[in-house]
Amino acid sequence: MFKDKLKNIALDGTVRQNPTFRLVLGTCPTLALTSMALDSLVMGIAVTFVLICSNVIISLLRNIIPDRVRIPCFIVIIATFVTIVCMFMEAVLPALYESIGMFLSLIVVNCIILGRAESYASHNPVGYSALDGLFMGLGFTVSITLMGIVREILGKGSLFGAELWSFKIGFFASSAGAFLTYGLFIAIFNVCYNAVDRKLKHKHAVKETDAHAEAVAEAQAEAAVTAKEAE
Amino acid sequence: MAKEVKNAVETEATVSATKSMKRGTVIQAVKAIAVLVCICLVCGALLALCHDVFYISDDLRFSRSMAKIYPELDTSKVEKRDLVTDFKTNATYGEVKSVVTDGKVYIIEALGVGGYASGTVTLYVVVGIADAKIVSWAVKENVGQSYIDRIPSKAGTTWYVGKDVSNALDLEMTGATVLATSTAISNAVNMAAFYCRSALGVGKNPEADAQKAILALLGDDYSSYTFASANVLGDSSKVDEETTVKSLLDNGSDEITFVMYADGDKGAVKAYVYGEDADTQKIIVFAGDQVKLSANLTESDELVTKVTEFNGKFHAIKSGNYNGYAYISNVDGEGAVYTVAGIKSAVTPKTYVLKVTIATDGGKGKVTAIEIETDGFVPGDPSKDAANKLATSLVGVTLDDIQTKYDSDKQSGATQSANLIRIAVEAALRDYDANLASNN
Repeated sequence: MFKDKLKNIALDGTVRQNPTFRLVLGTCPTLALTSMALDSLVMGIAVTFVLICSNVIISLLRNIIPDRVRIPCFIVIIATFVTIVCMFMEAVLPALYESIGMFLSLIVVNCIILGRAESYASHNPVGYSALDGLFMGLGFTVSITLMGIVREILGKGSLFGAELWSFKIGFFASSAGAFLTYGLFIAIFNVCYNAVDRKLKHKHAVKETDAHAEAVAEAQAEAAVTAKEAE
Repeated sequence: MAKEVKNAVETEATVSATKSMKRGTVIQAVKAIAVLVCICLVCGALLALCHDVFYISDDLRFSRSMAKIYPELDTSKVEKRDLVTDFKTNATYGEVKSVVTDGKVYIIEALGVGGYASGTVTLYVVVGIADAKIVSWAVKENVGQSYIDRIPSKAGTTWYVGKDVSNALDLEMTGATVLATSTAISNAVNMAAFYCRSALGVGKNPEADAQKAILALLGDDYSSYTFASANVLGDSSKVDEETTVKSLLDNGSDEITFVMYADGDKGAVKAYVYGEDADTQKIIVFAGDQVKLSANLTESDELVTKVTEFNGKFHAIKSGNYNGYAYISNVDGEGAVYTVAGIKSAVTPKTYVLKVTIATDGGKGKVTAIEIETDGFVPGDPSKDAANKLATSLVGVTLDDIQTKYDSDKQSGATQSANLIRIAVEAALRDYDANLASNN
């Protein structure tokens, strides 16, 4: 039971409801911070931390927070964790903070976090909410880091700051390049997802048909046995 | 009767239900607010705790901002230096706002004046202590320099870098027309260089030596005089100054090392300094109607001969914001008509030669006529008319009121002319009044 639930949460967060490529949430940092892979990775980790913490707290308080003030409460909780992340980054990683600081503060209004708080954490127990935060964050981190890697290699000829070659296509480092890369990633991800999903559904349907046929055959056999016995 | 009782009971029940609902709503609202306030308080406490844990001291913050300008900076050794009041401002260049050092370099925050629309540019200039050379510079902020983006960022890694702060640095600029902003940048770099040699002891400091020598030449009367705008000349400015001074003094092949201007309660002082070595510097000072020569100028020196010849004929005069000087080339037999030249050393030096007629009025000289003999204008220049009008407006002035006759810095199209004319007329009045005093 727990294993199934965990599998579902993990698959939802990373693939089925991937916040970046399936739900198209958190677009602002996705476009703005993916020109460098390291910035993307750090942003992803920060979002994951805030997601886990805010999900846990909101889930803990879900029976206390009145419905009519839930959004302000969520925002206050999320803003607190975002501020903590900002303080930590400024103190420990000043160079990275300098580079992505403005977008760190904007995590407060990131749709992924508020969305998960509203749709998941406020209705589910703490453990599941924490896992949901972890896997949603993981999905977001992997997505924007992948985009960051592609854009940095193509646009700057480097990877995580280390220069690979002098060849670069400046377009990919620009805002327009961010939109194009994002669009391509969404398309590729969804094509792959749909293909796999169709295959899985087909497999599932075949399995179900086989099982159904087996059941029918068994029933028929049983009926035959019963009829024989009656004779 | 029974119906009435029933109605009354129903009404009472409705009122009671409404009251109860209202009470419930109020309780819910209070609960909502209380929860929100509690969450805010707990979050606030958590943030206060984190603030203490991740606190960044002002010193660390400052070191980090400095390290951004110069990554090799040893942030553990960074210390701020108090500014030396005498050298922290310079009328030509601007102002030094702060100085920090790690023992290997100085990072000087310098503001440069002379930008577009009287705006400024503030730079961080990094100067090596051992070699007295500029390591790098970066723009901190600017005021009103809307075209500063036209100066490419690579300028920060090429312009002025590696130059010795012992000398003034010439203007560097791009092909694009951002002359004023480039000038402000140049002034900021020069301000940093000036502060290095004057206050920090980095590089040679011929200015300070010359200042001392000039004050010594001027004597006790000028003991409290301060050189507010001491100025080592860059190559291009030096050529302009030399053109001017050579035309007056015909001083042969000597090259001016720098010219110093100063402003104080005794009027403008202008000094030409030849040589950088304190022991061998040759200095000519024009202060009021005096010309002073340093000991290193020997009698056999051609320069001395010329200067001595003109002694008493030069007047260093400040007019508005201009420091210029005048040379009296002729006084007629009666001592009433002066032929006087107003001269301003500028990017394009101009000379005005006037014939000024002066008569005694109430024991003082009073201008009765002014005639422009030569001016710096090309035929048909519309500014010439404005200049002629300014000259005419000075008829009737005395030495006491000549400086208040007009605002020379706001003469549209004839600013330089306004100053040069006034400088020339004032020189004539000074000489006339001095003669009157000696005759009496």
